Amino acid sequence: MCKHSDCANYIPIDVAKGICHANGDITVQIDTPTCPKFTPGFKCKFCSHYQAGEQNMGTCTGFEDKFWAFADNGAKNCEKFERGAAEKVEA
Amino acid sequence: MAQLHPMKLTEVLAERGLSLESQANGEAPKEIQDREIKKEPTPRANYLRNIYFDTLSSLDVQESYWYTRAATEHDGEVPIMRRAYGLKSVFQHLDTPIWPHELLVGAKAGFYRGSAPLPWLTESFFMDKDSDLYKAALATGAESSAEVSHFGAGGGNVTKSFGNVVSVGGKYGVRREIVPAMHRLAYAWAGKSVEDVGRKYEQMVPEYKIKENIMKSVVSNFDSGFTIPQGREVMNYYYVLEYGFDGLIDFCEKRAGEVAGEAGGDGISGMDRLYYYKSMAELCRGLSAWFDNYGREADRLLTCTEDETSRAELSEISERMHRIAHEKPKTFKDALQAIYLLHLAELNEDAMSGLSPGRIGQVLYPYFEQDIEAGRLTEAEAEEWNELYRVKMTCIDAFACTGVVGGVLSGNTFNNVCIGGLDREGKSAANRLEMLILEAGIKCQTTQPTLSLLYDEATPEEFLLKCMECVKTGAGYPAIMNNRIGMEFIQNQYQHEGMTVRESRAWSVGGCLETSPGTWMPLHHGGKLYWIPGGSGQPTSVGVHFLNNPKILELTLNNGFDKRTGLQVFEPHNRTFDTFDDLVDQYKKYYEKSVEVLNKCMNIQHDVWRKFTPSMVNSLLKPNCLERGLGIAQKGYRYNATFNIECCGMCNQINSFAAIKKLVYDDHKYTLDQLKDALDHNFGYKTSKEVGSESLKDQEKRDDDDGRYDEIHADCLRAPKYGNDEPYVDDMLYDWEHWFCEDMPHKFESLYAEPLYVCQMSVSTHGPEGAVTAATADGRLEGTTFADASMSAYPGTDTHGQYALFESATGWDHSMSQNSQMNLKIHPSATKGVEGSRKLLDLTRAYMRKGGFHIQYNIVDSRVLKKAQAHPENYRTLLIRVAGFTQYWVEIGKPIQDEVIARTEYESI
Repeated sequence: MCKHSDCANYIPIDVAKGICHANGDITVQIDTPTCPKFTPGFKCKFCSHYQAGEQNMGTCTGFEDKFWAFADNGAKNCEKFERGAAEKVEA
Repeated sequence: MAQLHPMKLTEVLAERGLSLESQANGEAPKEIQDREIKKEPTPRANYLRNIYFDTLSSLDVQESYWYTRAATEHDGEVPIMRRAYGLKSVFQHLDTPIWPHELLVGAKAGFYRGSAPLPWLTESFFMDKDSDLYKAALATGAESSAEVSHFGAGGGNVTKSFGNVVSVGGKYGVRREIVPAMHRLAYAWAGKSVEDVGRKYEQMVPEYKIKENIMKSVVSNFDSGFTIPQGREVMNYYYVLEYGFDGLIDFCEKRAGEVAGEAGGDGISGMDRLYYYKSMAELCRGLSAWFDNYGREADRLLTCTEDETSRAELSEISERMHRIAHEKPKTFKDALQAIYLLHLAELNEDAMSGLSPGRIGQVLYPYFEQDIEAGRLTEAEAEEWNELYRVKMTCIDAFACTGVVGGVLSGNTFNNVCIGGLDREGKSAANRLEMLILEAGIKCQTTQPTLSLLYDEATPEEFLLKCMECVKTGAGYPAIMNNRIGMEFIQNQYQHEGMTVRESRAWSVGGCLETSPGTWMPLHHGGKLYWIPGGSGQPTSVGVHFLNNPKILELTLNNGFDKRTGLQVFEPHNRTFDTFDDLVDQYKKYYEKSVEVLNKCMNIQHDVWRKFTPSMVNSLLKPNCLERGLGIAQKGYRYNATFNIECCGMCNQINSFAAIKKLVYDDHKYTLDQLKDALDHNFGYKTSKEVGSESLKDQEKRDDDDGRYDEIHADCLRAPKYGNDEPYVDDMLYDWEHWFCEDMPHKFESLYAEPLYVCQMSVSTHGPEGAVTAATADGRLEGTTFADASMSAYPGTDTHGQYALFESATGWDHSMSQNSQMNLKIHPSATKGVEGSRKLLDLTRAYMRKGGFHIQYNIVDSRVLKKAQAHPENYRTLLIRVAGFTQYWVEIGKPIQDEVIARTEYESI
C-alpha cells in the first residue's frame, strides 16, 4: 500500500509528515490514506531496475555493477531511474 | 516537629541564608517581566520558521547508501579517490526538496530537519542494542557519557518511538521501513570504520587501559576522532566565489597534469598532489551536480504550480541554481545561496558541530554593496534573505552519539556568524550588511546561526548599541568576544606557521567560542578588488575533550580510585598530603597523565580518520590546499597547530581547592580524612541517583541523616568562592591558569607535530560531568551540575556584583588560552530603554577593557523559565543562552534547565 510519502506531489518535512503540493500545500501525515491525486513519486521501488527482496530491500540492476538497494530510497536524482510498470504501484 | 518529607537542599540552604535562585544587586520586580524588545520576521520567514517549530529531527539514509555503494564499487582505489567518488555520488543523488515559499534552497538530507548516519566514521551507537558491535563499544567506555546525558523532551526531539517512527539515540526519528537498510549499512562498515580501526590501534598505546578507565569514569567524555572529527572551525567560501565550479574543475585538471609523476622536491607528500587534484575535480563535479539538481527540482515544480508569484520565484531559483552550478556568483542572492549550500556540503562529509560560516557580513559585502548601488537589491530584501538564512541554518542537525549530541551539544550545531572586528588594514570592519544581519537576528529569532561580536575599541558606537538591542531580545546573541585578545592568542599560537599581525585580524570564531585563524583573500567582483576574511585552519577543538576537573580532584583524594564505577582509574599515588601544595602537585600529575594518554589515543584516532575519511570539502575550500595540492592530511591548510585540551568544572575545582586549603590546611578545623568522609557521604544527602535527578534543587537529605555533616557542609559552602574579588581564591585560579595554559599543554604535540593549547568553555558538559562526580569540597552535592562556562561563578555564590566578578575573572592573561567563557543572567528591567542599553554596553566594555575574552547575557526573568519548565507546551519558541550557544528551552535537558534557572540573576547594572 502506498503512502503519502510515495507520491510525486509530496514534499517531505520529517519522518511523520510532509506537504501535499497537489492540494494547496497542506500538511499531511504519512501514515494516513492517500487521495485520488496520488501520483507515484521517485523511489527505488517505482523503478524498473529495482528487484524487490526481503525486509523492504532488493537489488538495483540499473548500473554497470549490481548492488543492493532499498525500496524507499529517494531516486529523484538517480540518472538510471526509469518508472516501472504501472501495475507495480498500488495506490 | 518531625519532618514530614525529606528536607530539600533548597530548604537547608534557606535555613542558612543561602539560595539556589540567588538575586544580586537588588530584588526582581514583583510582577514577572517579559523581554523588552520584540519584533516579527517577514511573513515568508515566519511561515518557514513555523514549519521548523513543528518538525521532528529525522534520519535519512540516502547519503549512507550512495556513499557506501560508490566506495564499494571503487574498493582498491587510492583512498582519497575512493572517498571522492563516494562523496561525488552522494551529492549527485541526494534528494533536493524545495519547500513552499522558499527563496533560499537546500537541505542537509531529504527532510526539513534531517541528518544522516555516516557508518564509515562510526556505526556502533546506532546498531541494534543486541549487536556485538554495540556491546564492544560499551566495553570501551565509548557510551559511558551517553548514560548520563539528557535531551529535552520537547521540540523536535524524538525521544520515544511511535507509530512507524523509531527513536534512535533518544533524539532522531527514523521510518520503521528503512531500519533494516540502516542496519545493513552499519554492518557494511563494521571493522572498517574510523571508530573500529582507530580502536584497534589505540589499544597499542601501552597505557590504553587508563584511557578506557578515563572514558568509563567520564574523566573525559568522548573520543573526538570518530564522533565529531571536524568542526569548531571557520569555513572559507572564497574559491567558489572567485572561480565557480567550472573554473575550479579546469584548474584541478590542469594542475593534475602538471604534477603527475613529479615529487616536487618532497619525497613524502609531493606525489600525493596528483590524487589531491583528481579527487578535488571529482568532488567539484558532484557539488556542481547537487546545485544543478536544485534547479531541476525547481523546473519540475514549475510544471505543477499555478500560482503566478510562486512560479516567478521558482523560475528565479531555477535560473540561479543552474547558473551557479557552473559559474561564480554574480549577485548577493547568488552568493548567499552558494555559501549556504557549500556550508551544507561540508556538514555532509562528517558528523560535525561548530562549523562556523565566519564573518559572512564581510564576505558578502561586495555583492551587497554593488547590488544596492545598481538597484538590484533593497535593504529589505537583503534583510529577508538573512532571515531565511537563519531559518535554514536552524534546520541543521548533527547525527552523532547521545553523549555528544545530548551531553555536550544539547542538540545544538554551533554555526557561528561573527560581526565586527578589524579589516585587513586595521580599521573597523563593521558594515551596513552586518547591521541587517543583526536586525534579522532580532526579528527572526532562531538558534542558528548564533552571532558573535568581535569587540574592538574601533567598533562604532552605533554598531555596538545595535548589538545591545539584539542582546536585549533575550536571544542570547551576539556573544561578545574581545578582538584584541583573540588576535593575541592567534599570533602566539600560529607565529611559527607564518602568522602576522595583519593576518591575525582575519580571525573568527569556530563553534561557540573557539578562536580560529583566518586569512584575507582577494575577491574580484564587478571590477573591484575586495579582501575578504575566511577560515584557514584545521578543526580547532579536537584532541582531548572536556577533562572533568572536579572528577580528577575526587580521584586524587581517593588514591586514583573511582567509587562510582569501582575502577582504579589511575595508578595509586599512595601519598598522604601533608601540605596543600602536595595535594595540588598530585592533582597536576593525574591531570597530566590524562592528557598524555588521551592525546596519544586521539592522535591515533585522528590519524586513521585522515587516512580513511579525510576532509574533502574543507580541503578544497581552505587556503592553501589548492595552491599546495595537499589536503588536510598532508598539512595543506595554512594553519595546522590546532589541537586542544578542553576542560569543564573549573569553578568548582578552584572553589574546592579554596575550601580544602582554608578548612584543612590553614584553619585546621577539619582533617583531610574528615573532609573526605563528609564528601564520601555526600554531606548527609541522598545520591542524585536515589533522588532520580541531577538537578540542584531536587536534592534532599537522607531519611536517616543525623545531621553529623551539617556543620562541615555549611563551612564548605561558606569557604571563599570565586567571583567576589577575593584574592584568597582568585590567586588559586591565576596559579592554575598559568600552569594549565602555559606549562602543561606545550609538553604534548598533536599528530601534526604541532603544540597543543587549552580551551575553557563548558558547552553542556557541566551537566553529565557533574552527574558522575561525587560531592565536592565547595559544598556542591554528588551528581549535581557544575558551574557553567569557565569564568562564570557557581550559581548563587557571586554576591558582590558584576564588577567584583570581573575582577576575579581578569587577573590572568586570557590570551594564553583559546578562550574563556563568562555568562551573566540579567533581569530585563535592568536593561530597559536606551539608558539600559548604554548600561549594558558600559558593563560589556568594562569587562573587555579589563582583558576578559568573552561575555554573553541571558536577559530574562527567571520566573519565566520556571513557568516554561512547568508548561513547556506554551513555550516552544522560548530561547535561552546556555554556554556558548542559544537553544530552545524545550530542547534542553532538565539538569541544564535547572542550572540556568539557578544562575545568579542580576537585578541591576
